[in-house]
Amino acid sequence: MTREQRWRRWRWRSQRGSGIVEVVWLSILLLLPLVWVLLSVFEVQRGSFGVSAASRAAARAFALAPDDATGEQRAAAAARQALGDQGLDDAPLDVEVSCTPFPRTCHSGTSVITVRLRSAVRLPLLPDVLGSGAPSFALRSEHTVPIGRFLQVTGDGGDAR
Amino acid sequence: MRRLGVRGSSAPLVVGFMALLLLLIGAVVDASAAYLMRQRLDTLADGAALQGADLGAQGTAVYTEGLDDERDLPVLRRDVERAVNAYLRDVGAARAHPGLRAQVRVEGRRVVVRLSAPLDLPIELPGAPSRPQVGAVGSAAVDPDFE
Repeated sequence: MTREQRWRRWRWRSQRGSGIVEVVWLSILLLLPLVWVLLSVFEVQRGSFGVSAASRAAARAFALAPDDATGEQRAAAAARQALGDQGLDDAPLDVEVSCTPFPRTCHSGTSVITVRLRSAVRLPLLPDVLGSGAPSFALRSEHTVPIGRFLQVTGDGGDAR
Repeated sequence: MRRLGVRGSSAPLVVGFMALLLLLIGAVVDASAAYLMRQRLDTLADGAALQGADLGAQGTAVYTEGLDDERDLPVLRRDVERAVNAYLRDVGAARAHPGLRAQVRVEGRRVVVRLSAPLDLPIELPGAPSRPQVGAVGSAAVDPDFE
């Protein structure tokens, strides 16, 4: 075998299996960050969808309740349910209800209710060594609904719409 | 047979597939963002329609003729438009959705609010519209039994 033949043979044999190695390391290098970014984006979008639906449900639940105390309970329950529908049962939730022009008695005629909702989603698969505390993305949403200009006062002391 | 020419050819292939994957992911993320915005506009339109129906139904008939089971409050288009615009201004809709446009329609005792706003796509894709319009419709009836 001449020297040139040996060289050609070496060049031919040396690249055996190199393709699969390149595919593996390139895939790991490019795919892993991509998958993480993708999971994080969808987690945030899921949370955003959840809080948006939750604020709407909470505001309607509050407006349809007979009084403010019941309304706040129902608003919190409706918001929790709406977040749960998106698989966010464990997400922190803060429901704040405010009204104009009667901040203390929301269930009065001409009252306009605003429900502000704050929550957060935890970004997935991020090891704690990269930062102190849980990496999370804050979310908030608000919805405003009127309680109604005219309320019918019934005999039992409750308002019926 | 010349085999040296295939050396290193898998790397561009992987990168090419990744670029294709990125494009697909971009399309999905953009679609989700558009869906999210539609939901927000839907919520806004619902609130605006409720407020419009509530404040638009306040004729003098209430005071001069009273209300009974057969006569409901007449819905005045001018009052509805004013109420919807005031609602959108109060909740800061234009700030949250720059370029927001609202159309108000009164169909009998039903108030229909159509909102549309341009969406800034989170990921720019080649060939995609730069600021597509997203729209949502909300409606409210003064009389719940009204068909």
